[in-house]
Amino acid sequence: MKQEQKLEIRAENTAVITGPKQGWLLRISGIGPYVEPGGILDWEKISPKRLSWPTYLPWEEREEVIPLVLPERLTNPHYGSAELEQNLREMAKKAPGIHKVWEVTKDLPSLTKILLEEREQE
Amino acid sequence: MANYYLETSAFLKRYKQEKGSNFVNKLIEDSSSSVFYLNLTIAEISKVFFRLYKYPQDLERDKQISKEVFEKFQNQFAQDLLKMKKISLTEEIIEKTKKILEKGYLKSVIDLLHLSAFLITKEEFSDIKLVTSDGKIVEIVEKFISKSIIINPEDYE
Repeated sequence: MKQEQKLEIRAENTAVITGPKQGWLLRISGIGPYVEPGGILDWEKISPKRLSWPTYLPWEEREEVIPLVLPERLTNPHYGSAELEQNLREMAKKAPGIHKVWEVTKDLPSLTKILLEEREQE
Repeated sequence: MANYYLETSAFLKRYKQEKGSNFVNKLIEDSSSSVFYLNLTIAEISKVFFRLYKYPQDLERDKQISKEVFEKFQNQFAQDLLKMKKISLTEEIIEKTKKILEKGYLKSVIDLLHLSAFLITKEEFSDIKLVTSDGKIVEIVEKFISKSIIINPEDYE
């Protein structure tokens, strides 16, 4: 007894089509010699049983795919270094000398301790 | 010529005279030594200055400093940085933190990054010494390098 065979046609840009071997009428274009003049698909001539054909969407429905390129400031670790260097040079011109700094920090708590506390709370 | 990696906890001793300050001052002022710092240190030290200037913490008994004092800090700090060698935080440094974590746990990400930066710098400058006052860093770094190349400036007073 001949077993009814189920076949699957998977086509790009379409849903999967499944059905019995006999009786499929596919109104598709571009398959060429595998479609009989009456529109009946000759399965024996198609192997592998996977069809694809281009689907043309109206221009306005297409999504334009633009690859995301990150700006240099997000990828270059040296970005901004010229500005940092410039700022340091400007500030350094007004450096008071370390002895002046010690005079004003005499009554302050240990800066090292402040840092270590901050790290502890990180 | 000696090479040193000055980690932030030791670097801050430059700006207030306390145990360990003399050692750090000599390092920064000695032109025959190369002193390296990680660029992250700029944010860490600035944060301490800003905390005292704009965000004093009552519970920690901070003393608020004036704008004038704040600017003195910033300007002196800038001058010091220009004498030193800046190391940039790279993706290699970030990746190496995993190898550190395989051997020991550091709670602070910044500690991890400093340790990672130091170990990579040491691959390039094998004679470099780590100058730190952070006991947690010392505890872990001893698993990678000899104790003899770790300097706590507080031990030099």
